[in-house]
Amino acid sequence: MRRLTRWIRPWTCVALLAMIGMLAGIFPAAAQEATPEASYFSDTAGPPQPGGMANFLLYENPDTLNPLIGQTTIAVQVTSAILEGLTYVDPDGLTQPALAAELPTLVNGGVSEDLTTVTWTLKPDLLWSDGTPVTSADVAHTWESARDADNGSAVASDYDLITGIETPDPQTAVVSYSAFNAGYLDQFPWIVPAHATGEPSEMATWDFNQMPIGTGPFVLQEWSSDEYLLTTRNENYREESKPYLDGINFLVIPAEEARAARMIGGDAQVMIWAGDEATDQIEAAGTASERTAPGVWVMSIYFNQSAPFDDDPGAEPPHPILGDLRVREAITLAINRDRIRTELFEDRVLPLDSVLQVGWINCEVEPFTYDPERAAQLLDEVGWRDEDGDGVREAHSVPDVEDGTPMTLNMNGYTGFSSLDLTELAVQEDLAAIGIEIAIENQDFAVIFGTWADSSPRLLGDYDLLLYDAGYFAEPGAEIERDFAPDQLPSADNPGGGNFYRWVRDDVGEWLTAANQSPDVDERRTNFCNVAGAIREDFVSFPLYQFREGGVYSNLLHGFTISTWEYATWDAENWWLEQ
Amino acid sequence: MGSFIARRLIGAVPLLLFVSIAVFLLLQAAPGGPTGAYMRRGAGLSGADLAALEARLGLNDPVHIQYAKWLGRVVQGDLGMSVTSRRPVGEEILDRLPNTLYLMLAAWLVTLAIAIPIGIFSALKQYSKFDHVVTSVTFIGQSIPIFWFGLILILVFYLAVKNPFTGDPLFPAGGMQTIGVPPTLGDRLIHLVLPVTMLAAGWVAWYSRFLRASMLEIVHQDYIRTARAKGLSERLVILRHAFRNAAIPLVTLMALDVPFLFTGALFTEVIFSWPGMGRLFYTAAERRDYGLLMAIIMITSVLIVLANILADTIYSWLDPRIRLQ
Repeated sequence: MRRLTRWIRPWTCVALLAMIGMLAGIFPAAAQEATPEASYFSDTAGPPQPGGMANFLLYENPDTLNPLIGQTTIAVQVTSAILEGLTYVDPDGLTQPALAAELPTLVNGGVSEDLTTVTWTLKPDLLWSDGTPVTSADVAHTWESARDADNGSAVASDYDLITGIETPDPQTAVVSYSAFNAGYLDQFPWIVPAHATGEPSEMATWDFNQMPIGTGPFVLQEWSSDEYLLTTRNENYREESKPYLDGINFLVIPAEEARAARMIGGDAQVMIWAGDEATDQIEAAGTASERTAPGVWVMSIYFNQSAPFDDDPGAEPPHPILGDLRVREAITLAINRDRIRTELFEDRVLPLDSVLQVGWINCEVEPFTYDPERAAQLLDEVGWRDEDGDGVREAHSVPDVEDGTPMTLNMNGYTGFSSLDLTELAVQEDLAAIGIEIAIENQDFAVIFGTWADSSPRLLGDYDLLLYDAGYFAEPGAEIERDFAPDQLPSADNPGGGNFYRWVRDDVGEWLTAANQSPDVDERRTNFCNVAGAIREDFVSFPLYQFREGGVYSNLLHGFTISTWEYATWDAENWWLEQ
Repeated sequence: MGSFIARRLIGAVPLLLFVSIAVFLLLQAAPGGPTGAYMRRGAGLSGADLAALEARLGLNDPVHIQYAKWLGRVVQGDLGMSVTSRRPVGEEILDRLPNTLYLMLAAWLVTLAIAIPIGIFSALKQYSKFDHVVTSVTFIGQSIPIFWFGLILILVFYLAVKNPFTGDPLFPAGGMQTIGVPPTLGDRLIHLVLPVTMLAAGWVAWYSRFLRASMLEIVHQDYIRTARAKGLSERLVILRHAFRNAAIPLVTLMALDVPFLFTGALFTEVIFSWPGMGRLFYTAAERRDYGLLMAIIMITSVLIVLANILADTIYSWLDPRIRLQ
């Protein structure tokens, strides 16, 4: 995500513009071609040339390299070059076996008829990077460590449904569930070694957290905190002759301008999440190019359907303005998404009509339209009219609203993200044109996304409109249910509920239950798409655009594929450097 | 003098306690918390796991309870754990401190080596061309934004000017050493050049202007005229009589700067990817790593108090006319 544009200040722009001017003639033009018409970028140049070290730029020091105790998104970029799981997600959003020999299904007997037992078989002859064999005991150890929050686990809830793991032989792990887990294929994205970690109860203090042993293509040799992480090739990696690189240096460079300079100077090969300005400057120098895929992150407006600030986290009473579906529809009709995408973001973002229009679900919904005249008509119908001529509509016989109440709505986003700021201004301008006054009030990231105990206004229901980017990963069943099920309204009794729009529809609950109780992909997709249709029909949220995911890659680095479903180093074994 | 120091040290205790309470409350009042980095879905933590993490870190306790727990640990010598790295705070600080001291002391030495002669000559040759140039350059040195200056150094000495023999950049763009090769003194020194230049540019300006002003005041004193009148060489007059007295406020200034050797130089460390205390503090502030922030701020506060006592003591030692009460 492009959060780093905040680093750009006028005087740094001056420095970097000077930099481009001086360097424009020094470097040759990019020689690499993007794969045409692919939804994601894949560098297919070849044959691979083995050898060489790649420098991968990080903007902050990883916190830990143990994904089970909670990692920042930057730390996982390193972890995914070192550790693996039973499965991974390919660029099309489909789960594929990694350490597992195959995906367990009903058809191949890997999933029991009652759907509560899943049998995993490991690929033969797998070794940890220190030469120790990988066994099913490692799978059981991973579960033992991850299942208890008191161990320091930050992913304990993912393992709630598992009641036990049996290891009848070193290759086989039989996982028992208390109920069917529709996301069972994604259950073990990481496996940690029993022999090189420690007691599960002491996971928070394992040395492994700083110096992990994995099965991935690279091995961590040295971590100089806040400076670099040096990895070298894993000689025990399971694929013959891979990885091609001798190693990857992860350099921690906080200043975006300094990272851009390394890319321009040709000293670094990968810079993820580069800001637009930095990307343009690096591309102008000709040493590297932006490579992207459609991302999972979607910038949307979320409507609160319940009255705010009434000390009631329930759905009733309805929001005085947004509780009327016609008002929510009018807002979507009044916002010119094409203008935001093309003029503000110069087509760096993509059009989209549903947050469920990505990945394997990929639901088609009726496209939103831009029709400010129809928007004005709808508002007139409801009783929101500007009769006093001050440019802001006011209530005239609107049910449960005092006459003369101005049509003013608060819009909350989070601070420090320039793309979000620009979008808010465009939305404010469009809505002002039809007489809706928007008061922008951005809050710290941790306030918007805080927990119930933090009194997050989103969870308490104390907001009108929210605007931020969110998305679902490859197996989104549990999250979609948490966000849209009618019994998932956040409250003191259900602080983890995600239906903060306070949207209650029983049929949606039934579809979600059906989707999450079936192992059949088509049935699941149908039910999720019913939900997507209902979201569209009731104007629960309004997707504005979809971000691209990726970064700036050296023109001498090849073999990589950008996947929004995994981390940048997900296929680092395939990377190679043109000598 | 012993009782003076003892009194000052005892007096510092309630001051430091007050500072700790004020800082703790300010940190708690700032929006967000240590779990903020895990709130994005990209980090993979569900609401239930986040809530469990907050409970385990004691973040849901009332502020006064959290402060009491922190104080209880600190008086027993336990600075706590960093919630970011899950390592002891003391280890985190000890890891970074040598890097910061290395950079800051190098910059300090370079600064003194340049600023002292410049300050002296500038004062002795007041209104000369040299003085005008020095005054102008130091004025610029004090005024330029240090962040911008660091970027310009990278632009010029990393991207634009190349080593004529190897074609490599003249100086590295950052870091403390070349990664993956055995450390050598030459390699370490080369990595010091740009960050030290960035730091020293501002400091030389500040120190030399300070010394120039101090020298100007001294050289017009009667005792300097007397020294010259009794036939002492100009060199002796300047070095033994003028500089030694002019250096008194400079030494005080240096003593007061000692705590900043510990805190590091944030902008320089950020621009040149130097893994020092400034970066540690910056990351801790971004991540709301309360334990680490409190430790750094309180150690800095203690050092400032000690530096003030040291400055007062040195001052009276250098100038016997000053009596400590």
